[in-house]
Parts: sequence; structure tokens; C-alpha cells
Amino acid sequence: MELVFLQLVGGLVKAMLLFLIASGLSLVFGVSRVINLAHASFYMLGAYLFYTVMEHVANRNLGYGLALVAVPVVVALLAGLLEMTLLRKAYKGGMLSVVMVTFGMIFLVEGITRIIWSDTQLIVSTPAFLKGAVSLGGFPFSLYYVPIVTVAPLVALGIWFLFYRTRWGTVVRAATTDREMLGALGVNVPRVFTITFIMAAWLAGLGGVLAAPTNALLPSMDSNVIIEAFAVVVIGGLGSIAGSFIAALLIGELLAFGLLVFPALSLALVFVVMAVVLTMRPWGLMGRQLPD
Amino acid sequence: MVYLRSTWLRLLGLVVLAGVPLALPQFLSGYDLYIAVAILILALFTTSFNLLLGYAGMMSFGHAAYFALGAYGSGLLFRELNVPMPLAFAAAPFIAALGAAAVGYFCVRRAHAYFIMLTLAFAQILYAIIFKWYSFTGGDNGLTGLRPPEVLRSAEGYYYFTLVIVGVCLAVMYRMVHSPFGNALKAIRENPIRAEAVGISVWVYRWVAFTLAGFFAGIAGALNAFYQRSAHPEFAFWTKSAEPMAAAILGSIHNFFGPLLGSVIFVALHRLVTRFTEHWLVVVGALVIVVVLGFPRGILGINIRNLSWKGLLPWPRT
Repeated sequence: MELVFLQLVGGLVKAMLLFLIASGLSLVFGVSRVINLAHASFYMLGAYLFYTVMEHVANRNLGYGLALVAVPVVVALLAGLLEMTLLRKAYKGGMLSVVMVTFGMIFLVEGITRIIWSDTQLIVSTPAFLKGAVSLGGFPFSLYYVPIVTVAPLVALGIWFLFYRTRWGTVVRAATTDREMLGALGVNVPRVFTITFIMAAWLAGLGGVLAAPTNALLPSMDSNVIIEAFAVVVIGGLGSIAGSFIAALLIGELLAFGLLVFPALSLALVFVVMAVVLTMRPWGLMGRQLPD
Repeated sequence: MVYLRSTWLRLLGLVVLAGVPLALPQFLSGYDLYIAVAILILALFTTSFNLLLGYAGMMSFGHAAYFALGAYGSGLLFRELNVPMPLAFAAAPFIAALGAAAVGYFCVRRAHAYFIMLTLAFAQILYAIIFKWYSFTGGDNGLTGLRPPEVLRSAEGYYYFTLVIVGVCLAVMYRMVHSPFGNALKAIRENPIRAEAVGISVWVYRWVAFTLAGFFAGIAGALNAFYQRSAHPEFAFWTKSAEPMAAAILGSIHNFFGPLLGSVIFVALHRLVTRFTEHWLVVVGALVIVVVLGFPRGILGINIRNLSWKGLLPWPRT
């Protein structure tokens, strides 16, 4: 029973992290039709920057708070820089150029990460106030899961509020539906693209910060996460944040329980689910039908 | 491209073009021949990739999966089941094609956006399977001991072998794209809806193209396996998928021989850069970006008169 609970919780944590990454990916696609293949690289940057902050701030609790606030912003700004210098030039070349540029960005970011932080595995230890466990109905619940499980749903709520209760959200939703009309109505559409990209990178960076204590940091961690993020986005449907949330929960729990049943092939299980969902509902659970 | 009116001149040109690769071993050392083989293998891999990108308009980010299937397929048959090398080698592209057909079936009918993500995902999944299935594939240690028969063990022997195989495959692919099938693919690339309206079953053609591309990538993989005498899980990793992509864009995706040219440049660049730094990855990334933004038609598309670096400026031109 305890094992089941542990897996359930582990899956939930994984799901929350996946949601943070996948929602950004879905968002960027919905607004600017860009598939940012380098999205997981922002997640990786977030984790590595978090490591650096924790290494250099003496008070680890303060460091954690600082990192939680500052690192996603730094990642977001960096992403904004990349978008404005590189991606914008690629838009006029069509989807081919854009996707190729994001593909090149994966290697750029990964290469720079290797240069700055070297190839060796790095470990961030959890700050003192998050060590230990709490008892939840008799089962142990690790304390460092708390930030993840609380922050992610809050962020989800924040995104919902942003998109459905603010003017900015309306603009973004309009961009998702009809960019040209939006431009004709006087909105600076490239700026909308850039800001959306920045927001998505912020989400990915936050995911990296939250995930860092749970995993060893390797320059190859983006490649591990990217398939899962893609699986979530494909199952949930591109452009749908709610779809990402549901799909993230599905994949998170699937991976967690898959590890119990099929430890070596839990990833193949994800592939099977993807295949099934795509055969039954080609545009994901909550996505829209896309043109070819 | 140069247009020669005289048939005799054309014939001469063809003889020279064919003769140079054949005579190469007389002039090059063993190590250089080794590199020449690498170029040929990459050229085959990249041309198969360009069947999808340049001719069918499909961006497959997981093409390395079929390269790996070819390598591991032939390698495992050779080592585990003691199938003689020629047979194992011949079986490899069919294994790769089977994989491509299976994956393609799920990927090809989806919108392009999903196709991109799915091909990448499936390649990474194959990588994970090869990596983790230690007992069968040797996992991280790779598959070793893939020694070709006596005849092919020397640098010249393997060079000629690769030259013949790659030459035949390129010729076959050339005929494929310059045929009604190829024209259908180009039509699908330009306007899928119109192609469908005219009666071309878009998804079937895409599926066939995907499978064929996988077939030839499998040959490249098998060639590589017996060239390096081993196979590694990295053959399926996305960095391997980047090689044909970078080489194709560099050379020109709009020309059949673009990938070949791009492969030469890519391998030469690799040898050059790795002599000075181990951070080849950053260079590949930067290269892809610079080429896509600055030279969208590749090296073959550079028009000296129009050459301008202004396109790469991070701020608007005027």
C-alpha cells in the first residue's frame, strides 16, 4: 500500500513538472505556430542556474527562495533575447526555417551548458527547511515535493486567470485564433510572439528550478525530458493548456506505475499510449484540428 | 549548373566524375580513405533524409532511428545469429524499412507539427530501448566485434565497397525522384490539398516516401556498423539526426546532389573543428542557425551578386 502511495505521489510530482514544461510548449505553438524544439533546453538552463545560485548563496534557505524567483526570470530574458535575435528572422522562411533554428538552438544551449558547467553530473541538495518528510494519513510524504505540488497548480491557476480574465489574455487568445486579423486591428503581433515565448521559457525555467533537487543534473537532461514533454503535448493537444494538464497527469502517473510493472520499458509504454490516443483522436484530447 | 552542349563533353565530364572516386585510393592514405568512407556514408544518409525534406516537404527529426535500426539489425544478425556478413548487410535495410513503415504509419497522417514531434520522440524512444536492453544490445557498451570479411578489411577494400553501394543507392534514389512518384511527392510538398484534389493519396505517398527513406538510411547504418566495427545507442540519438539535417541544409535541399556536397563540407568541418575544440555541438548548432537564416538555399544557392550579410543583423535593415 505504501508503495502504491509513493508511486502515486511520485507520479503526481512528475506530472506537475511535465505540466510546467508542456504548457509552455503548447502555448508557444498555439500563439505563433512555432514548435520550440529547444524548450526543454530552457528547463535544463533553469536547473543549472538553480545549482549555481545554491552554490554561491551561503544561506541555503534564502538561496532557494531567491532562485525560485530569479532563475525563471533570467531564463525567460535569455529566451527573449534568442527569440528576438534568431527566431524572428526565421519567421519569414516559414515553418521549416523556424523549426530548424530551434533545433540549432538545442545544440547551442546544450553546448554552452557543457562549457560553463562541464560534463560531469551535478547534484543540488535540498535546502534545510525542505529536508525530511511529513506524515500524510500515515504515509511518508517527502517535504521537497511540497513546493512542486503547490507551485504548479498555482501557476496553472495563474495562467487560467491571465488568459481568461485579463486584456492581455484576450490578446493572446485572439492571436491563437487569427493572427492576421489581430495585426490588422493594430496589435503588435511580433511583440505578442516574443512575450509569449518569454512566458513559456519562464514556465520551463521554473520547472527546471523545481525539478533540480529531485534529479542529478546532466547536460543530457533536456533530451530525457523532451520526449515526455512532447508526449504530453501530443496527447493533450497542441494549443490547449487544459489538455496539457490532463495529459501531464496521465503521463506522470503512467511513468510512475510503469516503473513498477515494466521498469525497462516504461518509456515504450508512453509510446503505446501516444499511438492509441493519436489513432482515436488525431488532434489530441483537447487540441484543435491543424492544417497540414 | 554548367550546361554543356556537346554530348562528347558531357560524356567526358561523366567519366572524370566517375573516375575520380575510383582512382582515389591511389592518391590517398589509409586515414584519408577512412574519412572518404565517412563522407560517403553520410552522403547516403543525408540523401535519404532529403527524400523527405527536400522532395516530400516532411521534416523528420528522428531519421537517425532508421540508421540505428540498420546498424543494429545487421550487427545483431551477424554477431548473435552468426549470419554471414553479406546476408546480414542485405537484411539491414529491410529491418530499417520495417521500423520506418511502423513509425511512419502513425506519424505521417498527422499534421506537420505533430509529425515533427513524433518522429523525434520515436527516435528517442528507440535510443532508450537500445540503451536499456543491455542483455540484447549491449546497452551503453554498444555492439562490438563487427568484422567484415577479409576482402573488406583493408581501407581500400571497404572504400570500394562503400563507393559501389552508395553509388548504386544514389542512382536508384535519383531515378525515384525523377519519376512520376517523385513528381507526386513534389506536388504534395507544394500543395497537399491540391494534390489530394487531383487524386494523389497524400498520406500513402508520404508513408511510402518515409519507408523508402528509412530503407536507405538503414543501408547507411549497416555500412557504418561494419566501418566502425561497432554500433552504439548514440546512432539513434537526436545528435545523429542533426547530421543529415545540417549536411542537407548546408549543401542545398533543393538539389539532388546538395546532400552529397553538404556531407563533404560537414565531415571536413568536423575534422577541422575537433582538432581545436571538443565543443563540436555548439558549432553544429550555430552552423545550422547561420545556414538557415543566412543561406536558406545552401551553398549551391549562393548567388554572389546577391550575397549580403545584412540578413543576419539582429535588428531590422532600415
